[in-house]
Amino acid sequence: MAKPKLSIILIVYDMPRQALNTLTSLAVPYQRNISSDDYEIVIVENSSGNNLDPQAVAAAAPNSRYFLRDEPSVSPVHAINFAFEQCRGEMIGLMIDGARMVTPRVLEYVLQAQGICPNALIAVPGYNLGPVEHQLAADYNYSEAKERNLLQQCNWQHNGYRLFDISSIGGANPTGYIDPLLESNCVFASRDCFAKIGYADTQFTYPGGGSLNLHMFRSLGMLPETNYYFVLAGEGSFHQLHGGVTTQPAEDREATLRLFAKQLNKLWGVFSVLKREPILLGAVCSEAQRFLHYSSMQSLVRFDRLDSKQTHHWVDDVTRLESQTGKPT
Amino acid sequence: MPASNPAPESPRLSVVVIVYDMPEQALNTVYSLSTRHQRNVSAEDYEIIVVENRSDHTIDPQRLTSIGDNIHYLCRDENGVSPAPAINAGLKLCKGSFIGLLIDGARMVTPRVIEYALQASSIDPDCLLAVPGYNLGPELQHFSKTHNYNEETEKHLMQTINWQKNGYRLFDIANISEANPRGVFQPFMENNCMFSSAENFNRIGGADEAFHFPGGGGLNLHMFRSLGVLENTEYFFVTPGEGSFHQYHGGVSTSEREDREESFLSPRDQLESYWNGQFKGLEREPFLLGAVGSHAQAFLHYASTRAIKRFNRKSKRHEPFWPSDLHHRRYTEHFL
Repeated sequence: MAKPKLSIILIVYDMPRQALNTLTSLAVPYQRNISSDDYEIVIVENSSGNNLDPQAVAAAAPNSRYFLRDEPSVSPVHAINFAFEQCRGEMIGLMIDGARMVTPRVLEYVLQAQGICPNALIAVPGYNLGPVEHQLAADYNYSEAKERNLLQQCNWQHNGYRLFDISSIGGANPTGYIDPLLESNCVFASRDCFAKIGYADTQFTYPGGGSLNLHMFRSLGMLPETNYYFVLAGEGSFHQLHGGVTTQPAEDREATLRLFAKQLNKLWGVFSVLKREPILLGAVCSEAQRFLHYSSMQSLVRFDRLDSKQTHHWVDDVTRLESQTGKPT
Repeated sequence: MPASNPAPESPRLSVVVIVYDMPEQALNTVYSLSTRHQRNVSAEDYEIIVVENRSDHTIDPQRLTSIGDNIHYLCRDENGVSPAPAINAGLKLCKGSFIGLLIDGARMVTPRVIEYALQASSIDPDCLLAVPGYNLGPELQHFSKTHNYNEETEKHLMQTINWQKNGYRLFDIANISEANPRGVFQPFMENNCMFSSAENFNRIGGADEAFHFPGGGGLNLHMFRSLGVLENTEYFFVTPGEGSFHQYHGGVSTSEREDREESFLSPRDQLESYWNGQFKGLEREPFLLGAVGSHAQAFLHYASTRAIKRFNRKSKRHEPFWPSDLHHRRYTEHFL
């Protein structure tokens, strides 16, 4: 088998139903205008009492490789680094949470962006299935059963863009995707760029990796190599409800998040979202249009606010340029 | 009478600009296309080919070529009133495998048009890319006379924004063009800053010189749609954050003339004769390419508002959103 152009890492723990949906959404024929020879899916599951069925995995995505491993820690960092070792593509997609389904042209556009710039950073905006962020699901009487019903009704296997019809905007990009993203749970960069940031930093030992994904996203975005930063405006990654870490209601959730933030700030001084101007790429179909409308509105509000303070709209673009040229801009 | 700088050996892109009797506007346009204004590209990447039909007001060749090293100038005598032969003369000079055509030299562009055109061609060498159109000034330029808008007021307006430093400020003094009046998510009637492959321009036979009317009549509409419906034009890109901005001048369809209505009747008939009486905008799903900065953002928001209305209307009628896509391999709309 020839070397694929692209490897997608899917990290799974204790969510077989959701992960199979995700796999279906990453496989051909759901993914359009791409051949399954162009990419591979590297699934790494940390063993639980509720693992994926390898036969179901192979049936859902024949171009996938499935690795089940025992992991004593509660963080996905080791699973991620193990997955990086398996990847054969020059471009790598990281999906730290196997419960995120994607829309049908994500992979087509990623390969296009790679064609423009082999070291491009590509982010897919995040959404939640259902009406609210999933840590609030119980308050809104939203459950896995309701979500299953919603998914069934929208017939997403036939048209994945209908996922937009049953979703709300994600916590990583609450004011849309023209504003800075906090992180992306479906992020693509070159193998070289992932190597340059040291892959997944094993300091991130908290459940779910804590703020690992935020750290990796900003680290990739600030590399001198990632000159092009693309956001796929009409595509999305959709979180399915499951027993994850930050999406679970817990009395001590705030305390947990504070711990996560503390670790991040220790590494960055003060952590900031990636303030780089996104290059939009891709069609925006009818289902996705209301989120573009919202994103555009929110960005107008942000631009006005920053203008009134005479603040640059994209300070990280300036910082990167200055560090590359050694000159203030 | 050609004047020229040493040509880039093998530019990837050639941009043809057609000029007639608008020297100052054309110089602004060429400046906006040059590396002095375009970002993230070099003079080796592309060439600008200015073809002028001689008039009493031709461009000063020295001023033109001093703008950049990748500019070529051809001034030619033309008996007719159509730009079609000039376009063909320009197409013949192109060295690039990807070509941009500005049929009206009065259209300035924003700073990343060339960068995105090159990116689009790297995704699909036979794509069609359209840069949305705008008019400088407060309202449609056909009606400018009525509102005391003229070349002088426009010149002043342009001075206030210092566009040479930040070309995106052109959005601040412009209104949306009649070629795409409801924004980028609606079918384009035509496009005045369009890019496609040299082969595609060949496939449609270049500029059909039968379009003999002033300004070419329906020529640009015909060429745009012809390129868009070619079987091998798999991708139709639109740059939502870039624009081409029409400067006021005495052209055929952008200045107020009492006989405007009348002069359009025949060109329209001519256009329809090529399309069995069913000429319409290009109903293909646009693929967005490019950043959308603060100056362009309000136009994207407007386009999105109009898109939602259009999609709702089409849904109610059970009509496909992008019927011109139906014959393309990458047809992606799943309306049904």
